[in-house]
Amino acid sequence: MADLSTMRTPAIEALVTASPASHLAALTALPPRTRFSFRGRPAAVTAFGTVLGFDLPQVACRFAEDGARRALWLGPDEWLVTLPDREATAFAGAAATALAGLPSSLVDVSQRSLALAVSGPMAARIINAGCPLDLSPDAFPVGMCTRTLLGKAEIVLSRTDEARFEIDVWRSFADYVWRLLEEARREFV
Amino acid sequence: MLIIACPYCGPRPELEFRYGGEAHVARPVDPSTLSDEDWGAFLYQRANPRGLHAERWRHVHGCGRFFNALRDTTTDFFAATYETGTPRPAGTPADGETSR
Amino acid sequence: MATDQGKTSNMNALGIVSDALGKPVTEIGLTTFRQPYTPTTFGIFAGHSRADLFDPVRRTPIHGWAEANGAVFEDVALWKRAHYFPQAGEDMHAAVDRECLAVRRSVGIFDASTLGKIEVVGPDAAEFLNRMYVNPWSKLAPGRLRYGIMLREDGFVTDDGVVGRMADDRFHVTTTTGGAPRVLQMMEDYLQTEWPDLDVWLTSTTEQWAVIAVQGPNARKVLEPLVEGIDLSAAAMPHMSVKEGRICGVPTRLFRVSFTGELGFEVNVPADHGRAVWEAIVAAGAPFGITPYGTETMHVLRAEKGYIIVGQETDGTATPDDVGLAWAVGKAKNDFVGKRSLARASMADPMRKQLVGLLTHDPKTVLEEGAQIVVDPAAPVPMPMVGHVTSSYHSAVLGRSIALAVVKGGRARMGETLHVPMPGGTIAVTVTDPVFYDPKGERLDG
Repeated sequence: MADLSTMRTPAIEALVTASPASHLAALTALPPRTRFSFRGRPAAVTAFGTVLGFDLPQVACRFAEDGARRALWLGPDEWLVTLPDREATAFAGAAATALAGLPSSLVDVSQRSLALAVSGPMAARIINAGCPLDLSPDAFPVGMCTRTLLGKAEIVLSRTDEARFEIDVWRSFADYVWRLLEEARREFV
Repeated sequence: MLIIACPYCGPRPELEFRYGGEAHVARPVDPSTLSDEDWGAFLYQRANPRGLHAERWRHVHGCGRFFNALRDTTTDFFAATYETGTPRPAGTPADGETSR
Repeated sequence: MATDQGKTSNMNALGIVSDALGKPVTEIGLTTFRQPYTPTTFGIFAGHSRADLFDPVRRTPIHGWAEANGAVFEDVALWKRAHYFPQAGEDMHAAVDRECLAVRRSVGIFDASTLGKIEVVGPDAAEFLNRMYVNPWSKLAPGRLRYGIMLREDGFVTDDGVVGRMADDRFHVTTTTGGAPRVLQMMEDYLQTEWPDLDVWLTSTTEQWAVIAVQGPNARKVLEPLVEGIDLSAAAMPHMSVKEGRICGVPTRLFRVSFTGELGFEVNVPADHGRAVWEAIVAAGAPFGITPYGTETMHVLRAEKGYIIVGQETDGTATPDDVGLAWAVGKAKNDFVGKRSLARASMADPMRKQLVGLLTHDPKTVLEEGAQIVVDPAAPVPMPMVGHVTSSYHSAVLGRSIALAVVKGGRARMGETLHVPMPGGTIAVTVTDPVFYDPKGERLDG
C-alpha cells in the first residue's frame, strides 16, 4: 500500500507557472509551511511563548519572529503561528505538554491556506487594487500584519520588508486572489 | 467609504466590518422566567432612535472582535467606539439626541 | 432611482409633469441631485469584478479528478460541486439512477469537502455546545458522533451537522456547506458578547480537511486495507463513531457516519492529500465497482431515508418537531439558544406544517419542488393551501417517484389523499411516513 504522505496537490500550480516575471511587481507562491491557530488565556499565552522560543506579540497587528518561526497577532487572544514543516511534530508535542491544564486552543491549520509574496517597488500599489488599506510605510510598517479584504476574499496581509508583502489566503480563494493580483500587475509586466 | 475606529486595530474601512444591531441588549439570564410578551420584546423590539444610537459592530475581516459604537443615525457620524462589556462612555449625548 | 440616480428618468418625469400641469419644465423645479454628477461608465463601478473575477470560484482538492472524469458541476454558494458523473450516452436521470443503485448495491464515493468545519476547543467546549445546540453534549464520549441541530433564538432551525468529540476538550463540528460562516458568526457573537467567561475557542477548519464519503455495503471492505492504526470492524467502530489514525500514510480522522442509510464512512484528510487519497480509494474500490456520485444522487439517497436538508425541508420557520427531530432536543437541558421560543403555545400547534412523505398515485409522476398542496382540488379559487413539496425525485431503488413535503397537521394525515394542482392537471398523492426505504435502519450495518 502506497505511502501518500509526501504527495501534495497544490491549489494554483498552473497559474504560477504561467505568470510572467517583472522586477517592478513580482508575484510568487511560497512553499508549504506549518500553521497553527493559537488562542488562550494569559497563562497559556506565556507558556506557549516558552515553547515557541519568543513571546507572542501583544501589540495589535504586529508579528514577531525568530529564525523561521513567526507569530502573528490577529486578535487580542488569537495568533497565527508559522514554522517549517520539519519542526511541526516536535513543536506540537512540546506545546501540548506545556499547555496541559491551561485553558487554550491549538489547532493545526497548515493546509487551510496558501502563502503568496508580492514584492518590488509597485507591491503596495498592486495590493491596493483590491485592498482599501493605507499601505504606505508609515501606516503599514515592516512588522505589521492584519486580516483584511482583497476584493471578495479574506486574507492575512503582512509586510516583511519595505517592498515585500506576504499574503495568506484560504486555499479555495487562492485562485481568485492570484488572478486579481495578476490583473493589477499587468500594467507593470 | 466610512472609516470606523476598531478599539483594537484602529481606524479601518467599513468593508471590514459587519453591523450587529442595538447594543446593551443583554440576553436574559433565565429565559424560562420570562412571559411570552417580555421574551418577544427581547427578540424583536429595538429603540430605533433618530440621532445617537448605541450599537454593536464586528471587525469580521480584521481582528474578529465585536465592539460597541455610538453612531448618529442621521449623519452616520461615529461619536465613540468602546469595547464589549465596558459601559457607554460618559459625557456623550443620550440615544435619540444628535451628536452635533 | 438606480445607477442613473434620476438623470435620465428625471428629465422624462419633468416632461410628463409639465404636460400634466401645463407649465414649462423650468417652472416645475428639480429633485435632489445625488452623485454621480457627471456621466460615469459601468466599468468604473464594476472595477475588477468582471468575468473570471466577478466572484471567487471555490473548488475542492478533488475537483481536478472530477473534471477529468466527466463530472457536470453545479454552484453551491461560491463552490463548484460535482452534480453527477454521466457516462457515455447518459442524461442526468440515467446517471443518477445508476449512481444511486451502485451505492445501495455495492459502494460509492462522494466529495464532501465543502462541508463547514469548526474546531471547538477548551475546557468549556461541551458546555458551550450545550448552550448553542438543542442536543446534550456532556455525556458524549470521546470517539463518538452526534447529529447536532442549531436554532436561532426565535426557535427555528438554522443549521445542522454531525459533531465529533475528539477529546474531552475538543470537538470537530460540521455545518452545512452554505451555513459555515453564519454558524461561526453566531457562535462568536454569543461567546464574545454573552459568555466571555467560557474557556473555549473556535477555529474554522473548513479548508484544512478534504472529506471523502465512502458509502455502501462494501464500504468497509474498500477502506480496511488502506487504513493503519484503526480497527474499523463493526465491533470496534459502531455507527456514529470517529477514530484517528492513518490512511495510505496520511493522518486521518475517520468518521463512521452515513447520509445515505447504507454502511458508510467519511474520510477526513489534510487538504493537500485529498486528491491522492481519493485516487487510492477509487483504485482499491475497483474490484467492487466503486462509483463516484454527485450531489444529485446524494440528495436522492438521503430523501429515500427521510433525512432533511436545512434550507430545503426548512425555510427559517421550522422547529425541530416540525421536521421530525424532536427526539434530538435534550430534555434535561436548562437552557439553549431557542429553547424559550419553543415553549410558546403556537410552537405546539398540531396544525403546524410537519414533515411527511408523499407518494404520487401514479408512480411515474415526479412532483415539482415548491408545488402547493390542497385538500380539495374542487374548492373555489383562492383555495386554502395546506403545505408544499420540499424535495422530489425519482427513486431508482424503489422504482418510482418519492417526495418530501411539509403539510399542516401532516403527521395526523397518514394514508390520506391530498392533491397538488399544477398547470397540466391535478396530481393525487398519498401522505406517508418520510422514510421510504429500510425504515428500521438495518442497512446501516452493511
